[in-house]
Amino acid sequence: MREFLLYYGMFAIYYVMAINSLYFIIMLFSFKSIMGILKSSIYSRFQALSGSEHVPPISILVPAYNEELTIIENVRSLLALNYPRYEVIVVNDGSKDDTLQVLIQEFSLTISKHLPVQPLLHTSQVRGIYHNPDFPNLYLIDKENGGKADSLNAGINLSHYPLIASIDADSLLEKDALIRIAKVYMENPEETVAIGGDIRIANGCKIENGVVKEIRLPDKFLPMMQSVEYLKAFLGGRIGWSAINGLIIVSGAFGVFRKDYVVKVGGYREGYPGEDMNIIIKLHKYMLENKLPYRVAFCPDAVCWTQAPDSLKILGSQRRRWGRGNLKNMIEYGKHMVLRPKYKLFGMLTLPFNILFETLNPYFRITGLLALIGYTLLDMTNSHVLLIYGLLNVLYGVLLGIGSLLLEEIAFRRYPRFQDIVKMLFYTILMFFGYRQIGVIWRFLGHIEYLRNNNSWGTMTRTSWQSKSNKNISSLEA
Amino acid sequence: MQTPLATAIVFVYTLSGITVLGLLALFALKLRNLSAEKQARMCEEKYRDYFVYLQAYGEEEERLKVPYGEVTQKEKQLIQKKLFELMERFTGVHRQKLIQLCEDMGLVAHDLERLRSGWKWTRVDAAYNLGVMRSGQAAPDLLVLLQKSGVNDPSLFIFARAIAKCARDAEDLRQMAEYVVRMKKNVHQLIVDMISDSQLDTTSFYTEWIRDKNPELVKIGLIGFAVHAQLELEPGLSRLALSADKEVRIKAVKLMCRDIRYLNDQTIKDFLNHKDWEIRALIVKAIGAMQLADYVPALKKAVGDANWWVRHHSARSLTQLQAKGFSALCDILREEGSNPKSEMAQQIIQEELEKAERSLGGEPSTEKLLDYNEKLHLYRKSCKKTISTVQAMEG
Repeated sequence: MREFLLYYGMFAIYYVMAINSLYFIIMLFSFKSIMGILKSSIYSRFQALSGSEHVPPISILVPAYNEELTIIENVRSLLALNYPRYEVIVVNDGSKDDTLQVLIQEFSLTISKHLPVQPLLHTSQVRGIYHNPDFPNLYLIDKENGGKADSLNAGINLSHYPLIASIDADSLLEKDALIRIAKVYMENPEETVAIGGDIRIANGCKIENGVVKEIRLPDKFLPMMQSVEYLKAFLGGRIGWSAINGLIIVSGAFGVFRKDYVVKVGGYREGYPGEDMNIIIKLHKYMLENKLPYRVAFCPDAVCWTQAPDSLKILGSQRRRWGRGNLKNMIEYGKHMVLRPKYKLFGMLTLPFNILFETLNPYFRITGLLALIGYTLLDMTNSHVLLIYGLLNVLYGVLLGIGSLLLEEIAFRRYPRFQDIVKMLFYTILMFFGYRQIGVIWRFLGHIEYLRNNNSWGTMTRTSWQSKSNKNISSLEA
Repeated sequence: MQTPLATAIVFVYTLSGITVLGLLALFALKLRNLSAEKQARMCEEKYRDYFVYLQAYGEEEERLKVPYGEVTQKEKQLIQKKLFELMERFTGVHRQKLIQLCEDMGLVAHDLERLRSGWKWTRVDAAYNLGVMRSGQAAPDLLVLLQKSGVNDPSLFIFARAIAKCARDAEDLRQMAEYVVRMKKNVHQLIVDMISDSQLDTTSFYTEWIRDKNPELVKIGLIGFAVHAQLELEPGLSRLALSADKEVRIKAVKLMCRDIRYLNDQTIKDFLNHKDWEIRALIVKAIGAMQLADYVPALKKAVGDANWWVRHHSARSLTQLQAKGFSALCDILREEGSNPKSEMAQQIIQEELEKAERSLGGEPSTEKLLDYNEKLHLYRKSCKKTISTVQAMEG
């Protein structure tokens, strides 16, 4: 028994070394790209470009379910973007609160029951489309509840432009976020099928009229943890993955897509979370199967600010949902694409990496830790094995955190004060003492929910950008 | 078991070392950035009056004076940044004088030297600076640097834009455009945007490029040509509308559809029956915009096109052709059964009636009232709707 526990514990140690070494290599790709991103960003005349008639028009899709607290600020911020030609299509997904009414009232919208809609994708019944000629680039679709993916598909049907942007209703785009993404597209329009933006945590920031006026780190513990987590994932991970065209996800909170290809792959998958990962996998699959040159890009200087859950209950619900979505996607596509040379780097590296180190992560980590604890209890003289396992986890995690902070400091510098760096470093270390472990458990519970066929979206909380009052709601029940 | 564990221990030590190095680098970088910001603030304060002078005397005849006293290299860099901000804001004489000042301060010479640096990013910085300072001298070196940039090199577009700004003649722009389209597909829009930064008069060479043998230059020419209002007809467009390259065909037809002089009866018929749906959509849209009422029957037929956009634009164009067009739409309802053609006609009619009804809000003019009544009458007559149905719709 002792021998078995030790062998398994050693396996877990090497698993941790392998997963983190791969993360580290991906981060090195991020470092390799960062100077190019920085120079390209500071030497692009976004102000001039935002008035250029050569910039492609974009349809911004905003699925909204029970978003009465944040939707007005969100739409106002979208209507004030620095972008030459775009439309905002808000899709009310059968909200039970006053989302529809507040929008109609705020923008004096009137119903146009017969506005022509291209029947590209199947969706739930559309009850009406609202518009006001005084806000010519704003449309509101009111439809039966069908989930986030269904709302995006309804938005695609109404959209008039060749590029679509999906944006969460609880997020705020920086004024030039869209033009920055458009520049990335314009530099390679032939191959670019999707571009993801950088998501940052807005909790703690000063927000006025839907615009982030002053950037501050969150005061609360959980949003602060998520700030550090997002920084690591987006700067350390996604820049690197996009450099080798292996990006598996473009965040649902902010991404831009070629509409023609989204339609060709059948639109967003309805009825299950993880639609943001699903659409990217489908795009990879379609392009590779048809031998079309393509890339899924990431634009780290196009920033979208989002509200992070600030209670364990809400965060747990979100992470379990992510776990379910990830498992569903890996089962659905893994069996057809993993280790098939036809799917090139995506099938040979991205998917196996995701399955081994993201989907199965909770099992190896939890069981490895338990094995080593068991082994140590049986033979206290060998407790250093447990210590090494812990040290490897913490040191590698901290190193990856420092790497992300370095990338942030080299290229973006959103957090101006010295104490911000110190605070983020402190939380990077703190993350390994409880927060990471509970995250692993949530993911594991998500898998159990998947097996039990639990397909609800759980509870989400929206906080008005203007007031501190919270309201508990269920988000996007499909 | 000793060996694998020993490897893990070596890993722990290595990681500790790299972590400490990373930490040092992070703090050093943060402190350097904070110090640079402080220096910039101090420099801004020191030269505040000088910057006011630059803005106030921009339109005067005399040359702008260089800053008084000894200026360190760091200060020069910060002043250069401020000058660039002003150059982006001003045009004409004011910008010209600021460019002259950059030369007098030795900034152009300094960046020309940096353009030959061994460090890639120093060359990129210099290229950008020289572009803003519109240095014609830099154009040959910039072209060489551009041609050394690879397909995935982010500096490709920085060099290209700098060349557009520094271009001495059409040949510089042509070389830049030819190289960029060889490296990247379908970036014609971005190239035209970059060329719009040039100080040269671009209208004449867009016309030349339209006649070029290189189809990529033709595409750039067509996009650039569309930006400028043209008084004279371009005879080459009709030939390009027959091009084997679909993109060229579409861009040429798009231009032709902006000017009635290109569109004789045969051309319109050819476009209406074209194999590309994009071309059919362009022409049906143009017929509405140009109020060509003779083509109502053709539009009516096009409402039954296989492509949704052609159907949509045809129906919309019919609504732009007054009563005759609207009546044709209503006829579709009467003549056709349930199919995509009648569905589209139905949607557009309903939308038009809703729009006309909305416009009656408040105190409607007689003209609006007549328009609404006429449409309602046509709809009622053609579709043989019962009074109650129409009244229900009105309500």
